[in-house]
Amino acid sequence: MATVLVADDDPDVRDVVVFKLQQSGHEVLVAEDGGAALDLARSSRPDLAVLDVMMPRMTGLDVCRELRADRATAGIPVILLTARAQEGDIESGFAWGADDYLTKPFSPRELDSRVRAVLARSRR
Amino acid sequence: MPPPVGPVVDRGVLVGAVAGLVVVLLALAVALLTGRWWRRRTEARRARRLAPGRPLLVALAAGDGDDAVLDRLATLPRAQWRALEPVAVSMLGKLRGGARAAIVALLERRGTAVRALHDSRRRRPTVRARAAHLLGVVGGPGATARLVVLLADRDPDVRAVAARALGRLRDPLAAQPLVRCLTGPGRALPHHVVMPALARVGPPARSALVASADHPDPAVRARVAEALGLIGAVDAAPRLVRTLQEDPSAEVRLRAARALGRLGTPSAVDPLLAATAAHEPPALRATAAHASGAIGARRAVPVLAALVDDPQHWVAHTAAAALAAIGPEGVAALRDLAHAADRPGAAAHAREALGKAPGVAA
Repeated sequence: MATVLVADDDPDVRDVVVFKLQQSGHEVLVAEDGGAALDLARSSRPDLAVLDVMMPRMTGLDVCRELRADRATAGIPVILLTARAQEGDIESGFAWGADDYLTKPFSPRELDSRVRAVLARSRR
Repeated sequence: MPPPVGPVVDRGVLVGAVAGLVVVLLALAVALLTGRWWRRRTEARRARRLAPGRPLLVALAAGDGDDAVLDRLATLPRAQWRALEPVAVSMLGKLRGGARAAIVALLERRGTAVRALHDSRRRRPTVRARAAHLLGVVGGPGATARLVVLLADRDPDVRAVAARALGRLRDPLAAQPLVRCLTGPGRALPHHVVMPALARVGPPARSALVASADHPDPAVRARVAEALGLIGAVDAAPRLVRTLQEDPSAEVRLRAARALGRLGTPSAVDPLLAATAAHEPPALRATAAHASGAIGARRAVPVLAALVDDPQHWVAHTAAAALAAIGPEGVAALRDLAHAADRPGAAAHAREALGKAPGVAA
């Protein structure tokens, strides 16, 4: 299984995502804002990052851009979790190199499937 | 020379005033500290009551409904459940699929919907509004009927919460009562509350709106036309085209034109361009020009380019902006107009529109 970084400032969403991913056998690193997520990604190099778009300090899009800008973290796959299903958010996410996205309200089961799919793609 | 004489204050009064001030400050400090202590105590008690149930709630949501977890949550002591229920209700808005269904099942087991039905009849508006919100997220037998009654509540906030809750339930039975909020003589509800609710109800709401499109009152017809555009009723475009062409009220035709622009239906382009003709009212011409630009049809370019020279400033200005909205072909037409020395009015409108268009240099 893999090490997954989960960053979301909403404790309800964060806890459900963490529980689901741990239930699937992943090791989960948790961040409550964008800055902490970036620090954790740089120090622990997870296999995948699930980032909420709207977070304090740094948005998920900012974290994604910073990860892609650094050669050491550029290869970490990113799934964006966003409350705003607007095209602009999703387009910006893909433009900054996100691998997939999920809109809130979300299904934990679907998130788990997306995590598996992105991990499988990145390991090919 | 005598010394200057100032106001004489009695020493006793001065001491009394200072003492009074000290007492007031002390009382304020005590009140502040007591308030903080009470808040911390309340938060700590709430956290203690949440602690046993919250991990179970997370497990229920993430596990898509484990019966054993559901049973444990359904039998939590009442005080613990009272602290957990708001968290469960808040989670409903963040989850979908099996996770949401599991939490709804829990709320049903705990009697949340039944209690909400009861609370929706209470005297205090805040209690009725909270009950309406709960009925919207949990649903259950009788929820739609009760929320429809609350649409006519004496309190405007309760009415608004009931409308949103009906939208959330997406029950087709809510379509007609919500449309009546727009068309009927009853207690008013703001459009920005009713429209999203109608949009969430979907096709039944569109049918109910179209059924009111021939209402004898032009104000109602105008609201219906606007609503069809706002809720994205693309299948109602032919009806809106007929309204644009045939309605005796200029205001209703204008609202139909605006709605067609919002819907973006290509079949509406020709009727909209016809509505920009010189004999039509200026407000309708400008609205139809704007709607043609919003649809983005290239065949609108020659008609709109001719309108940029219109003697009505509003019409000409809107036509230029509509050309910019169409894209490269509209921008090319604006560039030609911007250099037309024989049409100074059109050139000015074209340059202004080019200046405002993103990523375009005049």
